[in-house]
Amino acid sequence: MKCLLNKKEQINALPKRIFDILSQYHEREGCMVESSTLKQLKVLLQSYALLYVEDNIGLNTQATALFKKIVDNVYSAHDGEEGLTLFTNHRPDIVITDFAMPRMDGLVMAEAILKINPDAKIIMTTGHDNLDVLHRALRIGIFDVLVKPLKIEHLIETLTRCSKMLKDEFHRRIFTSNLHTVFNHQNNQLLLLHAHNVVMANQPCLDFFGVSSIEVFRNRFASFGELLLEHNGFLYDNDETEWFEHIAHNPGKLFNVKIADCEDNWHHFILSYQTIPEKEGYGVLSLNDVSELHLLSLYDSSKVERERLAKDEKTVRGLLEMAMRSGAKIRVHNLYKGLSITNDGIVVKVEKREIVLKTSYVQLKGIQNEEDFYLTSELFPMAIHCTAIKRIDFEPQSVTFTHYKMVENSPTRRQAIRVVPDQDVRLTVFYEERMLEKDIVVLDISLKGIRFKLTALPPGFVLKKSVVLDLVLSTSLRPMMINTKAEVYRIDEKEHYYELVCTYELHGQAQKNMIDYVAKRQMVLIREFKGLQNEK
Amino acid sequence: MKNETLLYDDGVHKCVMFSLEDEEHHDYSLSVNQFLIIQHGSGVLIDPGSGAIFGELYDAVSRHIDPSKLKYIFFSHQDPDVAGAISEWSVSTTAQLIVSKLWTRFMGHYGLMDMGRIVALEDQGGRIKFGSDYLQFIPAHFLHSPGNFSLYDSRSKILFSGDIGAAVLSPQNLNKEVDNFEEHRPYLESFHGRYMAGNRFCRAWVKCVRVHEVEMIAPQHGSLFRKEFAAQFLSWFEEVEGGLEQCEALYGCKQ
Repeated sequence: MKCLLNKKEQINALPKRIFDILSQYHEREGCMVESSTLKQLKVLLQSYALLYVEDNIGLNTQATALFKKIVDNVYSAHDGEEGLTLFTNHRPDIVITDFAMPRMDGLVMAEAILKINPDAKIIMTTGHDNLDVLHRALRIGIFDVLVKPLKIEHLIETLTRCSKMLKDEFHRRIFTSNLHTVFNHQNNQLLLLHAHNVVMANQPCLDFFGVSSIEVFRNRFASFGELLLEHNGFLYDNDETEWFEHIAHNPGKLFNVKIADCEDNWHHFILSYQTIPEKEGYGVLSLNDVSELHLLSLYDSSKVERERLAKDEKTVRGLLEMAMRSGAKIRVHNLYKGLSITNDGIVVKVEKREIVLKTSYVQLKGIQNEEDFYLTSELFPMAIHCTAIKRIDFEPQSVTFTHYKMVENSPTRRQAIRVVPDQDVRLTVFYEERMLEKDIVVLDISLKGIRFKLTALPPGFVLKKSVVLDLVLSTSLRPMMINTKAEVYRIDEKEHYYELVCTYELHGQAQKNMIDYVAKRQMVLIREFKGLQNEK
Repeated sequence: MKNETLLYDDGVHKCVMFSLEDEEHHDYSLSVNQFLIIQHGSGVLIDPGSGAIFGELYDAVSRHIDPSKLKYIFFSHQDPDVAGAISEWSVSTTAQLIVSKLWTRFMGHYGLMDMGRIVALEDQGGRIKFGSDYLQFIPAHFLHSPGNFSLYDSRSKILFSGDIGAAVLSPQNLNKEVDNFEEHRPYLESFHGRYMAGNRFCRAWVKCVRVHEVEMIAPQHGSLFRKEFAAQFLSWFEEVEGGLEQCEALYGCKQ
């Protein structure tokens, strides 16, 4: 777009032209300046202070009057020295200055100003296209250079750009200063690490270790690892643990750690570490103190003590509260006829005995069907079995329950997928070449073993005895026969029958058949389970 | 056609390519590849294919490593020729299954409801430690699947590119290796022109790939690109025009 003031006009005539154009907001000299543009410029610049430095008295007077129309605080000077004094006293945000002036030229003044405030925006006007002046201006960090006679759209564009940059810088300053505030007023201890080493730490962290400054902290602890105390089941559980490797390769994951404060009291923290993208080697580490839940002994006690604690609802509630406070995602497990249904969940409320857990719709259906579920997390020493379901809300997708205990053995630890077979499965068990009873009920089956019922056991039938199993499995296509040796792994005596688990190692076609059967059975059970989802 | 090719072996770290095709595809020479990485007795299986080849691939893998030692199974995307046997692999191994988070909600359709077995990749990809080295998941979204990744193995410097680099019916596929890029190019063009979403995605992928030192590109269909052919492929792929550029022709009316 061509929008020039008369190029041939002398500098003296220029401000009048601009003034006219800006004041009257209409076409002049073939140039249309939109009134909305000028209003916008006024809105953008009004709150800033501007210093105008020009040795030509007439020009200075008129241009100053012009700038006062769009900027609230305008200061004017007639040479570099006077300009620098005004800048030192009033610290304006924007400086518009001529280059050639008596006593101190525009560049020397600009250099001095930028030493006082590197963020000052200096626009220099020069009567000719002097490359040397341009290079020097660039080198010292001048915002822009405009060649006289000025084009109105260039001046508007430069001032608009200038105001936007000032606003961006202002926002960045607010953001940075508030980040600093947030950083220091977090209850969590926060540390900025470069590899193992602490670069920054917030105030609660410095207070915890009883040090006055980050420099003192760095002098005392060369690496963050020096702070970690060994504790069974925690991130740092022996002196060969590669703790940093572990957290660095699991960003966002939560870990239990034990750290002593400045008075040598042990604290239990939940640690999480997040790398900083595009700043290789840097990461933010946060520590959430959960010591008052008194869970340390749970991880480091004898088996008997652990069993006692596992039954203690208060202890388990402490674990769930720890998960809630650290915002930990925990795994929720259900089984539908052996089919494992697992999704993430978060504890959202711990109140007296009542716990509220949010999880997925599918998981809630699993809980509704089974009336119990298991919770696991790297933070927990064992799985937690949850019963006494008080309420399932499908709309906010949450479950409320009041009974929970830790269990050493849970279905969440299964090594192989076990499914309840279809009714057509046939099992025959041979022990010392004699067939055991007919019509054996198979409870579940996997690639590694089978669980079934017997009403009576033959004499001498004990654990680790060898048996031979003949198994006929039906898929939609054909019956499959599996004949294998197996070992008695478990015998549970129930009220009217025995429940046995036999394990085996399948090879070749038998192995393939079993994989095929369990995989297809999974699909059938998924369909069945999805059918349940449609039921109220 | 060879159905097993050793891609890399330094005594510690090994990469093997299997080329097992289900019968349906055999006549059309779709040339499907599956990959296995092994280090210190731990394995990663890549794009293990459909249920039709499960048994054959299970045996092939067993010749190199006990399948119970598979630590991860990576599915570059959700297509049935990549992820059709999720149910079988979940039953036969204890491996973690790595897939774009976009597809986790579909796992039930593949026979898995246990999200504890899934490692869901964020859109920007990620890195996992494998032995003393690492595996980098490089975003390849919309090339062609909307949730798609390539896998870079830092030790062998092989880029397992999924459907990118696929060529159907190319004579170069017979020995599973490109030794004449110009001869192979028309077969690349026909596939990529129709399957890739648009040039912007092609360029973005190449930019991400060039961060790494790539010795070989191993696609899920077709032939391997070694050294200079890998570089040639990247330069060619940068210029590929896909669906977006051919929108009008594809829809048959002016848009």
